[in-house]
Amino acid sequence: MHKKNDYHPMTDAELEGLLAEIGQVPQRNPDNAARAKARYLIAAGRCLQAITTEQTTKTRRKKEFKEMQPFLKRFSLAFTLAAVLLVFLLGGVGVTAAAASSALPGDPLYGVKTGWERTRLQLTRQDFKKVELNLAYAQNRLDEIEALITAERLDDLEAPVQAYETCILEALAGLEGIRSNSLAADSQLGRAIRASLGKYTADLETLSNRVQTQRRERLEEATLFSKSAGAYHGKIEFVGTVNAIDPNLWIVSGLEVIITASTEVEMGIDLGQQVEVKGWVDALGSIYARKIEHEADGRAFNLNGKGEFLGIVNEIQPDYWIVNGIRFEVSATAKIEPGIGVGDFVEVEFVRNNKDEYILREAEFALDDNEYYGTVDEIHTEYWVIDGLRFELLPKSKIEKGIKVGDFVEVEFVRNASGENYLLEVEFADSEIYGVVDEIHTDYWIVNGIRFELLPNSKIENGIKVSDFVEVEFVRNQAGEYILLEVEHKDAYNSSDAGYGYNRHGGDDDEMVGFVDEIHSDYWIINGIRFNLLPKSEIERGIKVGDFVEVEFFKNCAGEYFLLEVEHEDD
Amino acid sequence: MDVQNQAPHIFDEETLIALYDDHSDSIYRYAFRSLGEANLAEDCVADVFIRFLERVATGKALTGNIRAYLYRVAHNWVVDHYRREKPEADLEAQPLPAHNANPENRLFEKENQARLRQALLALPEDQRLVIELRVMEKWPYEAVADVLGKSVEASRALQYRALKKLRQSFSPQWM
Repeated sequence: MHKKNDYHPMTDAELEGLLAEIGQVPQRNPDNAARAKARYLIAAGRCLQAITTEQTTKTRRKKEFKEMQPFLKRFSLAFTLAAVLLVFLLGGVGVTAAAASSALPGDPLYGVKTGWERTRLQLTRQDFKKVELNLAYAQNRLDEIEALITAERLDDLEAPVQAYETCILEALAGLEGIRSNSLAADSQLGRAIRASLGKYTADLETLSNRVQTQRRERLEEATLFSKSAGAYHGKIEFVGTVNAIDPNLWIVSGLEVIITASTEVEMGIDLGQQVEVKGWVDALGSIYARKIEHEADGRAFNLNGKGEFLGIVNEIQPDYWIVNGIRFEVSATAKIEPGIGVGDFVEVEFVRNNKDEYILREAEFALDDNEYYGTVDEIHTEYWVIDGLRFELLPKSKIEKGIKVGDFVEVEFVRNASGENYLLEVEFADSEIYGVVDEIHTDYWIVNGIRFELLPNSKIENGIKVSDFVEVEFVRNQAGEYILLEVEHKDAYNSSDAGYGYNRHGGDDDEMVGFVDEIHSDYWIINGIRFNLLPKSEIERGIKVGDFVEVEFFKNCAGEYFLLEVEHEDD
Repeated sequence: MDVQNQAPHIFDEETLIALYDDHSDSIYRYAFRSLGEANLAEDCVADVFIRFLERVATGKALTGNIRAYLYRVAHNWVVDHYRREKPEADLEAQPLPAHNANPENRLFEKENQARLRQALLALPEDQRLVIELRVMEKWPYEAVADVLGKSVEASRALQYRALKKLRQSFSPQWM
């Protein structure tokens, strides 16, 4: 068997074999292809309309426009009809969608309205936009709930309440998907979701107060759901034994699991059975189940060998802990995260010795670390207050030097079962970053995957376009949004001084030797690698294609190489 | 309708539709090969053609070969995607394990494929295009030369250099 570092130079046959492998493309999904074409047709229709509008403003083209207009209108209409037809076929809606926008559940056009929303979701490929759409649709459902209450159509409330919860769950699921790709986007979207849910919770509470019948209970459930989801802390999955079953609360391996209206529970689960619980934990440590199902894979706590599991701390003694009723011996080498107390939800790693004892190897909070941005209100020896929240200090808390009251900081912390925050790290929040422009919109930009909101007084250097490398100066508001103050082109070479991901070697440049393949005014190719030239690139005179040279270079976070110095390699 | 070598007249309905029909599949294949994921490739196709329309809407002239232009936009999309992804592992800096069809080495082969995609992306644009069109799409040299705006002989030379560079990029000396 080959080992990972058992390599040899590539032969022609191997290269062609590999190229053939990656050259194979599975058949394109016809539905996806149709959706892509629908988007193209819609955009083409807009494009033509834009051209039509522009032309009407240009008097010097009046004559030409006059001749074109009937054709343009016909063509634009043809495109629009084709697009609508495709969208209709895909999503089951048509041009009546706009007319249906004010329809309520039970109205004839309500299906058209929600169908149009579903179609927009289907046509939207970017995950963060799907999250934003789901939040917008959640607001639509709340508007409908309000309209139904005003119209005293309380029997129709269930559908929009359920749909509201589905939108929130899908937004949270979308957030999970994004989390794996971009922590920055996750953090930003997470705050957006929390901000939205805070508003939704308040709206639902107001609406609940307007309803005096048994329907109020359903609205209160939705309010509870919004509160828990609003305080969304982290995804959780664990396997345990069912100790108690109540319509609103289960006990699984000693843990209280809250059941909401949207919890999916597999039929036939009984006391004493092994189940898998999937859900989330709110800021107070309460577990909300999204799904509970039979556990048939034997992934429950394994009494043999070694393993790890999630559980709640029942007791802490100097030489042993009890977690989920199981005793774990604590040795001197056990790694235990600071701040854990009785009642906390923890992840335990253990081994079983030959005396059948369980030896605790590691224990840590089962939840992800929290991240928080705010202004320092108070600094004490045992705790800090940041934006009104108290954070307890630990012996291992890392505190960046120089932070004082009034500074804007980034805090990493964990929260225990009692709701106390333990500060892991606090540092000055970055107020400027360097990155590549991903998207440019009228009201926001996306740089390095982070969305920056524009203000009327945001300063934007002329000529910046997508893919440019820029420096962004920003602040973050209370809702966690990034507000763009200034953006300007950044010289690639100087940016490495900033140490922000532009030099992956932490400031040390790389060197290599090789043959010069190509020489261009703005880049060289050496041994097949493209090196972009910089204003400060030092190039020894007389180097030509085919020469053997030594290159000093660095590589930026986008994987591009920049040439610092090139000279003949005498050795 | 073959519109690969003509800049479309923006008011020509048939040309715009035919352009999409002619090129969307090949752009999809290019995107799939570069990205290795069907949904992402669809995203790329949609964005490439929408950017094309946006360019048409601005009234900027589209000079040169439309197919080459579309490939270039697709390539930029792919590069942008990898920038956004910011993979932690620097695949280019890793040695190439020996190719072996043994199932035990499938993981390494997958890794090789990913690295080869990265290496292709690192090639100069015309070299990447010649590999894509000639080696993967199996176009005749004449058609490749037409897209590249070069002679057939120059296209052959370009392919030779591209393959040579790909081999070099997998050489152990780059450890």
